[in-house]
Amino acid sequence: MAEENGIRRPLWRIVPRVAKAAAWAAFYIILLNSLPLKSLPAEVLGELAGFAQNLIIILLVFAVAGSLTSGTILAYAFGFAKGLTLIAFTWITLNGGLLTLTFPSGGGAVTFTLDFTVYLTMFLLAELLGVARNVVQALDLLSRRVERSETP
Amino acid sequence: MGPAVRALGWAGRFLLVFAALYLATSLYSFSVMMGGGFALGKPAFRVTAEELAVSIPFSFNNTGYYDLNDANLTAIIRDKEGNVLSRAETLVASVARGTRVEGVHSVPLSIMKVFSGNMTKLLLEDDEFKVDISLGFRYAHALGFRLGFTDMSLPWGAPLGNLSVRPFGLRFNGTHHILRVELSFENHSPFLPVSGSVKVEVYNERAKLVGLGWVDVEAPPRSRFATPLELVVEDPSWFTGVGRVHVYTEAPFKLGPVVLPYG
Repeated sequence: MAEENGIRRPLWRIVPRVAKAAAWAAFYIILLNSLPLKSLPAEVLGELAGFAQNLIIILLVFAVAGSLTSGTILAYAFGFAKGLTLIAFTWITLNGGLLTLTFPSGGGAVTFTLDFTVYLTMFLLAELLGVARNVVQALDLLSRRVERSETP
Repeated sequence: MGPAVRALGWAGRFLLVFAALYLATSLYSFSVMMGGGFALGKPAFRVTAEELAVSIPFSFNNTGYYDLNDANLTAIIRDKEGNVLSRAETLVASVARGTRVEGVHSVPLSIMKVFSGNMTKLLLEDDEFKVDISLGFRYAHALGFRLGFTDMSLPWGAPLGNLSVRPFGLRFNGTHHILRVELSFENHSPFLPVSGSVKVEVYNERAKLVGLGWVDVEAPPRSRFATPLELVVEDPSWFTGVGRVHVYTEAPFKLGPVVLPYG
């Protein structure tokens, strides 16, 4: 009886985490396949498809890792790493919010430049707040553990 | 630390929602505005002795929810070698939402700059210019757009294409010796009319002036012009059937002499 409880307890703790990770994975895989990327022009598609796929893969990996380790210090470490990875990835891939597309036209070329630096900065600031939140949550968890271990 | 965590969470969520709403509404508003918000009018051409100017009327009708700023329309005309012949920039500082701004973008082309050195060539031969046009503006104080057309071909039609001045006969009318000359050309230009007086001087092979005369020409764009011309000759022996003709034009440009051999 005691042996059964010893197996069941960690199992009941892991099952919801695995289920949550699987749900996140399913959500991101459906999202990746439902993006209307094929309807975009080839010039735009080349730039955007790679970005969207890589972004979803990053989100998927960190969502699964975060779900599996939820309730532990590792979950906050993954949250922290996810925030920094997303900030670096979006800033580098989106060229700091300045995108230029060039199409050949006749003997010349048509160039379209889109500057969305302000919006990207807002999104990255929100992500940075998420990074800070993960740090504070990790500190909170550690301090609670210390408090618990010191309580007689 | 609970309140700090919650505050950071709410601040992040609020910023994310605000940024998403701002982006969504500005993109929607922009798409509404672009459905007839920017319009270009019919270009007008003005030719003076010093310059040829193309004026393009334009209008911004801001029907969106946000202001439009720093609108900039730039045109650069270059020759085939890439030398800049003209650069014109029109700036519109701000078009507030619900307002309409109209303006004229004028591209002056200095005739001396364009034609210096090879003015005769451009007057007589078809050519090609390269044009760069760009339109840029900021929308909602956050979105920047720039649409540029580079290396677009602008064909140049020679106003005096296939110019021919051919002296073909000498006769005596009882008082003077008259040299008959046939003058013809094709105005290949799509917008420049050729009208005014043309002066013709006929020289023999020893550079002696045989005779000179004027003729009024009138050739609208994309038309052919031909006319006979009679020159009074002082001494018929000077006309040997071989030599050069000097042509001077007044419109569209004051130019001359264009030297053409005959015989």
